Amino acid sequence: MQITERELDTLTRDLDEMHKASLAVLGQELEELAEKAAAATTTRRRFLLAGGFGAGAALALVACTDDNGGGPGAAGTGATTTTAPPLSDDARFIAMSASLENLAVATYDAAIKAVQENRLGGVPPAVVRFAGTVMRQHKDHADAFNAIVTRAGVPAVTGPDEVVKPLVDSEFAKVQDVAGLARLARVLENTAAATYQDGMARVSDRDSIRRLASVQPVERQHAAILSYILGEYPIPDTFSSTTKQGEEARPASDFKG
Amino acid sequence: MLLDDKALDDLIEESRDLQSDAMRSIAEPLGALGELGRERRASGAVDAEEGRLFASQRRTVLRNSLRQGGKLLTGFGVGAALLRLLESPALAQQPPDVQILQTAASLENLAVATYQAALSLPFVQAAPNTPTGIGLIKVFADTTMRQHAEHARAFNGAVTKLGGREQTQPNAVMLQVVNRARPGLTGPGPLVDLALELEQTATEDYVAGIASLSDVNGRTVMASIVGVESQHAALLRAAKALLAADAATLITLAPPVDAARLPEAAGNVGFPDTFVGTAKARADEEGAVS
Repeated sequence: MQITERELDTLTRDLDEMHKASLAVLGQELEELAEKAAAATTTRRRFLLAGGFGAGAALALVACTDDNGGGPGAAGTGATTTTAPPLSDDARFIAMSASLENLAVATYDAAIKAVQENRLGGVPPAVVRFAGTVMRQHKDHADAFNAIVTRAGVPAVTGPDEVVKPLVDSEFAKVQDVAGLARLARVLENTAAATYQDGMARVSDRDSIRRLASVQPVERQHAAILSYILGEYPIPDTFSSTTKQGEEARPASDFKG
Repeated sequence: MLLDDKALDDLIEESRDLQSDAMRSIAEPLGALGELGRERRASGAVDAEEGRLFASQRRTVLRNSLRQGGKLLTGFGVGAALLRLLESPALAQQPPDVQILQTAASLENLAVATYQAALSLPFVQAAPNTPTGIGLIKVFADTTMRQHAEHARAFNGAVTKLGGREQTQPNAVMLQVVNRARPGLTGPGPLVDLALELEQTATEDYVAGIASLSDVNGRTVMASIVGVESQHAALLRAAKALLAADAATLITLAPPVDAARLPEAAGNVGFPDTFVGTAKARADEEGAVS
């Protein structure tokens, strides 16, 4: 075969160009793969929104009614009922957490009112101080959870946990003294803590995990001090539980938002 | 110029074969990479055996590339240096999740050792075995020591599940804090202060760790422990406040504390922070072992 050097150079250049073209295709496909991998990472917006749920849509909250003049329900704040697209699992969990904090705020508020109206007998100053501080902390916790929910333009959760609230109302009506109040409060604290502990393994969004982790220990501390006031060893469990009977973690599916 | 047609055909055939071999060799690790990613996403955990296999295959590919395709680099000594790096333990360091959990185990080991030492202090040994005053501090130290031992076991269980090595030693950096405090542990006040420092450090470290861990099992374990450490800290703060108020008799479970006698400030001294911070969290690799 006869081939000139010039022809060989041309063929070599053609071969080189074909090779580079194939690399370009590979590069493009690798980019697409990387984009898919990045898209699989949960962003805050992604965890809050689900299937076409756009910013500005309202949570569907059932208005809280108060038919117990002296119970925590009296302090509950209702919210308008609207139909909203479904929340993502993460969003529902954080919204549930906010509702639990709202319930705690309402309960401690009702307790303080009961003390002021002398309906619980003599209540030591340290216990009043405890209730006031804890109520404020729960309000801040609710605000922090709502900050996560509202960052995507979703209204804050202002009502209490609607499944637990009737149970708390019922138990609160039976409270006659500090010991009864402390036991009820401890159930609330441990239920909230169990819920957030469960959330740390369940939720995907990093900011939400961080927030749950910063709040859960504080609820456990509240519970420990309540146990101490009740004369019980404050830290009986080596590992805190999410399934302890009567203090189980709340399922996000119970939040009807 | 005259070319040997047959020789040219042979060269083209050889080039085609090399290309096919290269495509075949990359298909398997790419497939394994994809499978690994799918498994991790499905379960939230890394299959340790597959992780090691992948890492080994990756190093093999890189080594072969340096030896065969990087003759120029090798010739200048850079390739050889890179090869040495690939073989070094530093580059084969533990994944971050393993380091975080090993550091947590090191903090637990330190707590066990510290409470053990506390129980041998003369004023603690002399305390009555009743849950009142120094006696309750003694009960607390004993119970808490056992809890921390269980915590260490749990963290190490999570470590080995990820293919890491158990951490059986106390945290070396915080150990210095304990050793510096030891000469001053002549009464309950300093002892409570030291214990509080360790419990609060662990609490904040685990809050940070929970936010960082990718491994769901590790996060679950840590989440079940962080609250307990925070409760230890809360009780120690309450005890500290009562000791400072010369009210050691109010540190009691039997008989139960008379809440009416508690100073008002005792009502909220146990939980000064609305959100647990992470300023005291340790560096991820501080307690890591390879």
